[in-house]
Amino acid sequence: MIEQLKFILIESLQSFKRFRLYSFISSLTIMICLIIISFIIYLSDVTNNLSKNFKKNESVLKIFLKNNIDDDKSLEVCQNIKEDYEFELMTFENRNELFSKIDKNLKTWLKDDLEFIPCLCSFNIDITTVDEIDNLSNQIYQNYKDVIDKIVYPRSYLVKFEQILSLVYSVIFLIGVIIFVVSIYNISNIIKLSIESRKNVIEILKLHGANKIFIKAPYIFEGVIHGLIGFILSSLFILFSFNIFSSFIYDHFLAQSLITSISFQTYILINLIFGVILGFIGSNLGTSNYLE
Amino acid sequence: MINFYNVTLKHKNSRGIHNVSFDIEKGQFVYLMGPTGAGKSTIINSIIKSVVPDSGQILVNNYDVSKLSENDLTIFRRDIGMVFQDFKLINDRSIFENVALPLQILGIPKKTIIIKVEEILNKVGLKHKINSMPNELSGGEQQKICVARALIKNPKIVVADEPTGNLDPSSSDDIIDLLEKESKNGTTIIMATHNYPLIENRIKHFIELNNGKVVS
Repeated sequence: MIEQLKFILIESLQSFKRFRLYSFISSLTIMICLIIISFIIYLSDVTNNLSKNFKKNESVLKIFLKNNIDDDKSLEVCQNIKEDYEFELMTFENRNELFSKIDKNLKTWLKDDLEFIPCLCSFNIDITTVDEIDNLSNQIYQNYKDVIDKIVYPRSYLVKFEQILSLVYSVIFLIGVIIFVVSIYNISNIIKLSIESRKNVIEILKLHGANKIFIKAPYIFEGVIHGLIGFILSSLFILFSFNIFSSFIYDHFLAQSLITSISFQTYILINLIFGVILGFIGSNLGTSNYLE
Repeated sequence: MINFYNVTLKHKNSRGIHNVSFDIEKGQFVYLMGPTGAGKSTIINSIIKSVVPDSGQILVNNYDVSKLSENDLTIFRRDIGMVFQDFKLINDRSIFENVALPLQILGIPKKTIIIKVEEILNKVGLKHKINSMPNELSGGEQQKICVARALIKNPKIVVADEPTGNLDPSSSDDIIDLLEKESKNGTTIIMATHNYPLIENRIKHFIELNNGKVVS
């Protein structure tokens, strides 16, 4: 058994010497697939970061207090809400401040009746879904219904944003799946071509009583090794891209939102896992189709 | 050792074998003779289950060949040595690697393989070519390597399909000498040939075929 395993390993390693072109093409294909997969992961991460930042800026809960509560009491209520719900950022606007924002014509009409205007506290919230914002606003209203007139936030705007975001994610996921499947198909085809050029070896092995596992195993190991080589090449490319991108980001402030929150090590680990999986499934499929 | 009972196998080109029956005893050296298309290769291929007969029964080494499962077939073939007209050597591997292949399939330790390969190459007179590549050898030498590969695992049966087909008379004689020597050690050998003059002085047992039928 150990001798057979040794033979299988040596066979798969020696195939690099014997079939340099196929090994090179196969490793290169895996490398390209891994780079594309990494780019998709990067894209999804950047989209996620952009959407978080966007929501953070846009998800503002505006609480209009009842207009019979004076400015000081209103500020106190707002601070209580901030503490109760651990909001990080709060903006309080008293009647005068709100009045200053009102349209010129309307101002003339309202100036004698400032008491009509309520105080407003605005909280920037760090919540991802519209449902959660709904729940939060209901909770606040229930707890402070004596002092709150109404709570507003850009619900329809956020719902649309969520819909667009989910579409973007679906497209990215679909592209990822397509690339993964196409990669496996490509790799299995390359392995098939490689087997085609070695079919006399397979025939001789069969005639001498080699079983299916013994015939298949070197090809599968070979596929995994191609995966590992593809992983090393793609990692070098990613490392290079990281360096280039970092220097570019320091020079261009606007590009900072394109920084990935996933570490280089994580990209390497993902590449390693996908490289091995692509090599394994691709070669397994290639040999299964051919040897059956 | 090898028994054919009313075996019929038709190829698409209407060639094949029809109702063939014969028995080969253990340790016999049997020549399968006949012109091209007589059915010699079909019989050889039926023995190693490269083709499956339409009807009849083939017993080889107590195995009913037609009923062998995929797993049993691999075990069955490990007891059979094969020699082919086109040598079937792997051109990108050295002579050592080619000859060692059947033992590597069996999982024999490397040290034993080295000893056995040297021994068998010595037997066929080509030990000095151990590190050569097949295309560096003459046709006769390549066939000797093929015989060495067939014999290295001490098979119970050796099937040889026109092993002298591509060789000059002197090399052909060498190959048959090697196979006869092996037969004297108790190995059953069945060799297909259409070259009657080559074997007429050696012949002991033979099966003559014509148009897929046993003539004598």
